[in-house]
Amino acid sequence: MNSRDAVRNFLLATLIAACAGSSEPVPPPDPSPLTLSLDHLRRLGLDAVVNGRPVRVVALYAEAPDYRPTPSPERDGSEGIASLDDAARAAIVYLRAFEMTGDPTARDEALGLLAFVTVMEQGDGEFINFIDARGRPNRIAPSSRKSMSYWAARGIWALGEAVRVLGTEGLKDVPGAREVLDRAIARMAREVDGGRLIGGSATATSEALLGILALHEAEPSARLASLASRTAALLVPLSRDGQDAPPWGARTDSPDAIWHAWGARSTAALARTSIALNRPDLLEAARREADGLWGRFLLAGQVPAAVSPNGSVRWFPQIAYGVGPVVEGYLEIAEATGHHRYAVYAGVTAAWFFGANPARVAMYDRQTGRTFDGIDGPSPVQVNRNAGAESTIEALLALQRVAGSPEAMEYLTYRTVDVPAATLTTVPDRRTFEGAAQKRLTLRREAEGIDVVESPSAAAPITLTYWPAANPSETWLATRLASQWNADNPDVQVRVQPLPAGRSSEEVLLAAIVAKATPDISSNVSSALLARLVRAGSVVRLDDRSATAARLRERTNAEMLASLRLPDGGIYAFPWKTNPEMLMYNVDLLASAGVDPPRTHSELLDAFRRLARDTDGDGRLDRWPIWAGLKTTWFERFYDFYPLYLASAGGRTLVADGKVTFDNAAAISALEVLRQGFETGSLPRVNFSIGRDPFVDGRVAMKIIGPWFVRELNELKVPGLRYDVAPVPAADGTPLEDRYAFADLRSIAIFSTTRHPDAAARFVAYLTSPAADQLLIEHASQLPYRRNLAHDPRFAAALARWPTLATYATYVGRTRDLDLDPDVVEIFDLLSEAYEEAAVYGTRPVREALTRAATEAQRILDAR
Amino acid sequence: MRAEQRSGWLLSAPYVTFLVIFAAYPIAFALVLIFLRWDLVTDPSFAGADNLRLLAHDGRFWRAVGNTFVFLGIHLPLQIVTALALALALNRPLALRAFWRAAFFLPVVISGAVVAILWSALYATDVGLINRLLVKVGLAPVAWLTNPLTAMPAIAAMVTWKNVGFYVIIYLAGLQYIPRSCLEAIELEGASPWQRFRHVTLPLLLPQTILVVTLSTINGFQLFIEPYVMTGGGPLRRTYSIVLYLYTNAFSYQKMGYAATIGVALAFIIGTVVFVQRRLIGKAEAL
Amino acid sequence: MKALGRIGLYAALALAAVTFIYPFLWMVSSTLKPPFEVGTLELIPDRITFDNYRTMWARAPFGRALLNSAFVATTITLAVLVLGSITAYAMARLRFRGAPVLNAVTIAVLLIPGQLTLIPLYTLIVKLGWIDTYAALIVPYLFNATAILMLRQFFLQIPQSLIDSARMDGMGEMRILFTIFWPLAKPVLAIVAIFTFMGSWNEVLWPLLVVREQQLMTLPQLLTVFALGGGAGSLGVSLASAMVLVVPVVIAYVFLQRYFIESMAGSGTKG
Repeated sequence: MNSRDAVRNFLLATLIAACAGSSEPVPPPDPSPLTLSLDHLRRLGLDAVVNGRPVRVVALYAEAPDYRPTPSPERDGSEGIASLDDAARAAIVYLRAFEMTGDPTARDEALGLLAFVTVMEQGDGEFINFIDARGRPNRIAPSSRKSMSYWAARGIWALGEAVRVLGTEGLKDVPGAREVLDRAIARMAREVDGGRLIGGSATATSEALLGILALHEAEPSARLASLASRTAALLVPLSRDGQDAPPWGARTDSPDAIWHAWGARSTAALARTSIALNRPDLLEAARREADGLWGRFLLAGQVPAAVSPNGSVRWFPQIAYGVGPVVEGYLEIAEATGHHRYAVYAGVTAAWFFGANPARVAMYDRQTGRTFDGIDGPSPVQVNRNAGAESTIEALLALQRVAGSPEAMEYLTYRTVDVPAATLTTVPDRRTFEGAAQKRLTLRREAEGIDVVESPSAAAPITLTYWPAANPSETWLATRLASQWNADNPDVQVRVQPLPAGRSSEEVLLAAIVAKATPDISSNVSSALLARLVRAGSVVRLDDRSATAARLRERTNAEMLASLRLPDGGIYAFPWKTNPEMLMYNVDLLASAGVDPPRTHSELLDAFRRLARDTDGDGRLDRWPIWAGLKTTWFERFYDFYPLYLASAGGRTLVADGKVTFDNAAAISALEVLRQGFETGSLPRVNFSIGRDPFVDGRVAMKIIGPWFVRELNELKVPGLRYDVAPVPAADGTPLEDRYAFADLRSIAIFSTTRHPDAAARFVAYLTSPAADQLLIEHASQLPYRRNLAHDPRFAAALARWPTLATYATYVGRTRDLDLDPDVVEIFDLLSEAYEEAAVYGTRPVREALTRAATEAQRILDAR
Repeated sequence: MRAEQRSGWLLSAPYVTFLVIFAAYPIAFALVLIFLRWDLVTDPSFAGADNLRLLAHDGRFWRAVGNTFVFLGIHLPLQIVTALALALALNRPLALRAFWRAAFFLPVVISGAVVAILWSALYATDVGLINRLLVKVGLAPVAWLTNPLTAMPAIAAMVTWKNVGFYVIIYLAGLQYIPRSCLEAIELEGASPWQRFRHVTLPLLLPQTILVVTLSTINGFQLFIEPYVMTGGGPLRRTYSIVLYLYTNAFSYQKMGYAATIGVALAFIIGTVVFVQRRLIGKAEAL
Repeated sequence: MKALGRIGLYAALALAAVTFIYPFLWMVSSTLKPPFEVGTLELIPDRITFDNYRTMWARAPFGRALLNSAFVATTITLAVLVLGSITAYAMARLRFRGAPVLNAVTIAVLLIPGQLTLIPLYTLIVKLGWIDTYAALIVPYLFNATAILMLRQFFLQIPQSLIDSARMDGMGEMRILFTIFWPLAKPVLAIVAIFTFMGSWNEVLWPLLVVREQQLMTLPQLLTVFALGGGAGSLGVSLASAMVLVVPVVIAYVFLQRYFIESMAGSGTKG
């Protein structure tokens, strides 16, 4: 050991002794986040050539114990080796997997399967179902006939989902697919207009409807909305009888038909339609079967195979294709109503896949992603351990949905305590389930439905401390949500303590970390802070905890998470809200100056000239185009230089891979436009009286700001002030796809000092639920980081609560945030200095100032 | 004698303990920190002389030092002259003496944070009291806190306004110790009031002046809340104070080692400046 | 001539007084105005509104902060007076080895700005687990070098004969200090009490570091955090929150100031 090391070790030892606080070990992550394995499904995948075109298909069966892909047996008339029925639904599984993980191999599988869907169409919107091992379509078997039936409906569903997930452009990778989809929809519409169920089946009709809805989400149109509405109208009257008489609201293809669990998708489809078209009546219709018949399943303790119109029941076989649709139906209703209890029902029903079934066998295997083909009786030996395509696919479809519901996830381990009922006509009034740590859940029949009563675990209630931001609206929101949570969760009580608002919340949180006085949860973590928190090991990883993982799945997609992943691939703070900044303008001031909202820097400069005014003729300007702040606090640049820079930087931010990237034309242009504004006197070199924003008083015409300001503006603005928003102007000639809005993403972090990471994760999932997000929009005029926010019908009303918020929402997807760099604050301070010198006071040329800032920033990065 | 020795130790023991914990230990630790790179939340690493090297070449730090001298260059003379003038005025038989004194002293009792917030409002370019008055008399408003030329003088004037009452009291106390007989004797010799002031009052007030200069200087070097609240250190870093820079490095950049280095340097600079000042004042008086 | 001089003197004094007082009046008036009138020259608002106060009171716990500040400043002041006197007495009047060193160290401590030790001290408070406690606000201020030096300076001037005769009477050091020295030292004690109280009352930087729990914040800290952190939202509210800090001080000042002047005058006549 040389002397330098000795000195260093001594110093370190001193410091460590000085700083040695007792750091509590972090409990291991929840052992059972739901892993969705596509391995078995991939194994069933086969290459085929159909009509001379290479496609992917899924083999029909796989028999225990080796689970090799197998064709249809002779007893079924040797239908073939693969079907459109399976391929279409498998494509949906892959599409959703790609949406969530961004895994390109999932996308490739989906495209191959969609190519198969495409070639099976017969030129008139009708489809054939099976092919044989040599790729020849089976035109003979009744289950394969060219028709507008089950397989056609599933083709529509898969292609509609493809447009939703991949976009209109994305589907172009499958030549002909779009035309096929359009023809199939036209063909389907003929059936619907004729008042006929697709293939005479509620199932097929529902699946086609789901496809229409997916397409409508991507390409909203009155035509699709009307088709969806007419299709749903066919499903509504299928529900037979009410709550109290058999078959308890079951939807069957005809009045005397038997209700089958398999493919019971009409509930899900109706609920989905009610969301998409904002039709509460369809939600009522959806709930009829779910509240009546399915409610009896819950109290009986199992989902049967079939129910006759008189209520007699056949319990077996129980298969994934039967349980899955019930789970999905419940989840759709949960989403449409926002009622927690439906998610609970979905959870205890989905527990079937994990062993909560009469055979007490886990039907879904986490490692391989295999799902057994069914249960033929209440004993492990009566489990059919083959794992064919349909079981595997249906299980994955249901579990993908479950994985996006934190509430449902909680109940996957629950088991019914008493034996299941033998009939549906007499079911007990209550059923109790037991989960880990002796937590119990009782479902109780009440007048208005089935009530959920939870008895907490025997352990004493725990308390979580939650720091929201200190501003009034967020504090209000936090308090309101926490008190609801506390009422619902007696075993986990949350204490709200607004984050003391110092100069910046970063300083406060870092101080708390040093003091080991962090709360369990804080909801105001900026990306600037996050990099430090992670480096210090102060926050808990969230994408491997079941509740937060489920919420991430429900709320975001792979693309939205990509920039938030840290080098180890983990998500360490829950991306909560994002506030894309736009150019807000005073409609009347612009109109009276004859100025349109500027789109480019030259238009902006022109607007500067025309909007600066002296209205009272005292020789001094009293109307200004924009107010660029003079303070050099780092975050002041969020409202002038940085958004102007991002608007033309083509997605670049300030640093990448340890290198400074802002010494470029976009930054020069942004700074230059500000410099000219200041130099010509159009931008005031003054601070307006502290606190009072001159835009609010109608003295400044434009402002670069995020949606949170809308609430404040509405409260404070002078009467009659009219405003709107437009994208932040970009450098002249910037192509549209290079423009990004700045959004200061705020995340919710769970600190590693917490002793209850899983309870905290559940609370975080609660804070980010659709209902909580609606409150966030309505009360704080802020936008949740949620996919498709602008077009998600559930949020339309909330967004309409504030002017311009719907416009803001359309930019949620096209944003750039701060760099996840520990020194980002100091880099911003350098930029502030450059801004001040070059733009505000003109004491240094723009280019030189930027180069200087870049050099110094690089020095800081290198010094680490 | 022994008893006195023992009580001496006994009575000063709490103070000594306090000094060890809250002065000696932090100082020693500050000296250790100089050689570390530490963001408080991860393990520190040995930085060698990096912090010192950086400090020597850190234009921002030296600008803050320069700013402090600009501040003192305005604040000290203003403070001394105003305090002395007000004290001399109050040192006469006056009606409402208590009132005047109370009025001058009022800002002293008000928290610096309040004063900074209040003066931000007074200096505000648009609705500030000062500019409203300027406009009223037909002058153009001045962007007091955002014009690089006026920002630091504005802060210096404000700090003077805030503190002068305290120094008035110090000077008054000093004036009251000056023997009236002495002044009267000189007056009889035919000395003008200025001569009386220059040759009797001023020299006799030397201890007070030294105190005023020393305390004002130390205060000036510790300038923090005023730029923190009013300017954030701008414009063009003209009001960036040393302590603000230390605070920023510590709590915005999490550079504890460098912040501690700035703290040590600041202590060193204050020591030097105060020492030099005392020498100079002593010399000037001896002439 | 003499009369003219006096008029000039009074005019100058009046101008000075206005300079010192008017901003406060303007502040009071601004807090009572509706948002659009804030900053106008008129001292009497057209319409008096308490909205600014209502807003301010609803948004942050200023009442609690007032109590915190009072408690912290009072405790520190008492400690500095009592502990400081004891220490100064020992240093000034007891001959023991180390007294000169202690004096030198105290001067050194006085000269060392708090900023040098700010960060190490902060980590110390963390280690002691005092973050978000009154201890963090009080303990580091229990002794004050300036106070000790001022008291020592004064105690040095007290004639030795007084002490000797007291000792002859069998008085202990503590009794000598508190029954003989303290009455004599009233003016100095008053100065010490005032600047200690004010120092603690005005301190913002240290509370900013060691207190984050709003319920424990001192007034100036809460005010800074409130005004700077954007909690206020407008000039009127921001100034209204400053009033919470000003009003009790001004009320106390009426009392303190008289005491202050009495003791100063007392010391003046004796000199």
